[in-house]
Amino acid sequence: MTDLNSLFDIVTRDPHPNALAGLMVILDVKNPPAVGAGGTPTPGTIERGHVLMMDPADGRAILGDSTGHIATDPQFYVYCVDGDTDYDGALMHRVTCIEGGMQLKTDKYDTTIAAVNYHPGASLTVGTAGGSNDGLLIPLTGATEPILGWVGPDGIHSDGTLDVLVPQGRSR
Amino acid sequence: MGNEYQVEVPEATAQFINRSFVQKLDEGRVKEAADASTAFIREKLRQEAAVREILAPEGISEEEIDRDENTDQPKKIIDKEPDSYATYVQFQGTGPRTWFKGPRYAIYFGKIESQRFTKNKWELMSYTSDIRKILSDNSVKDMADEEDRYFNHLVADIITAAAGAQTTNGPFQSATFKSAMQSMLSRRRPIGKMLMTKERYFDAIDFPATTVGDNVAQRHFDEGIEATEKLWGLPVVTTIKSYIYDPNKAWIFSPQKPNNFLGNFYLLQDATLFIKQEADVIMFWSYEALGMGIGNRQSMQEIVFP
Repeated sequence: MTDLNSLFDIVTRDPHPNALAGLMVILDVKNPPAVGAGGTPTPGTIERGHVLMMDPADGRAILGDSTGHIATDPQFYVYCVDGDTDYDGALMHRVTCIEGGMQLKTDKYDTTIAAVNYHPGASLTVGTAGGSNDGLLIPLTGATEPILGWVGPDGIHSDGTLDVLVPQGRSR
Repeated sequence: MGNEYQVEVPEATAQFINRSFVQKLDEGRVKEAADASTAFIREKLRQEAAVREILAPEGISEEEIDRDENTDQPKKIIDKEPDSYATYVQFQGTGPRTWFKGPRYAIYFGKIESQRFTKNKWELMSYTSDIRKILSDNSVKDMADEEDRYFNHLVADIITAAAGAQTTNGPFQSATFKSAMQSMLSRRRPIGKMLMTKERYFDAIDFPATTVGDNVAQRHFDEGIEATEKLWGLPVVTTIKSYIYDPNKAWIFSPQKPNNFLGNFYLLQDATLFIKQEADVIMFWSYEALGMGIGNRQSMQEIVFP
């Protein structure tokens, strides 16, 4: 009878109201900008919809890329649903993310890639490190890339956003 | 309701309080249970967040917040004093015209929330400790810590950006503090309060009678350092939070009153306890919405002790 001394605990956050099956993860942003000279907080660059991963050195959020993903040690990716470009994010540079278990419409995909590649059911991965599309969804191009989700039945909406289905634990 | 609850407490055992707490929830009086604890929480928070002694929190209403066309998040824009000067001229001369403009800065808001405490009501009944103490220990102090943590980061960012101009190095003695205060005055910033950890404040015990006088030395010997609230006339805010504020540092800040030379701390909502029960499971957590900022970056001086 040592239950009261156990350090075990379930620390899951309550789900986002619009992603009830999603694992919510809150991350500090890597190298956030300092408060402005006038005293006003400075917005960061992580926007809602960006694919993020954790810097292994300190667990802070950085834009996700497929470069560091290897099959024997798959990368953990999350979708940012509240970035640090808005007031509350600029204040604390802490972003709210969801790992999976949701359907979303996002403009954070590489629009320079032909729309035909974003057909319903198409597998999605994330851009490469240091490129113009890190943090953005792109169509899967190789067997070694991580899977970030699949294009949903609506494909590209009329407003230009991408319909994305993100099951839980979809990475490989 | 809150007062009625408070009066009952001293005569009740902790088990009774927990049972009473659970009964109120069972009877649907969730708001009453929340009110009783909320009143207690506000008292504790004022006492325990050091930043609230430096930046006095001020409630802000819906009518006072500023809107933005790009977001529905609130902010508060604060006007700053426009700079000005005068010129000595001949009788036929005039002062220069100026199309004056006052700078501004904005306070953004965020939410601090405690862990969401969940417990089965029958397990809760088995606790002999006061449920209100659990609430205050586990949520209010944590939230106060977050306020202090944010303030500490804010101050550190400003000091770092000042590239040494707002840092004074030296031992814990009058010459060091004097130099720090003189630095503030040289920037035409008034001196308001000093902040340091209680751990560091105890170094004042070592001030000899030859420096501070027989009376002060005697008082420190008889009553301890706690009896002293000022050093060289400067009010000192002490905190036990050496896990947030570096005990090898102290900070001097300009005052907020009668004129605000420092910054702002606004509360959209002060600490509030939320309780809900679903069948036999009770959940409670605390949250608050606040924003703080330093509009006058030169209004502080950091002292670094060896």
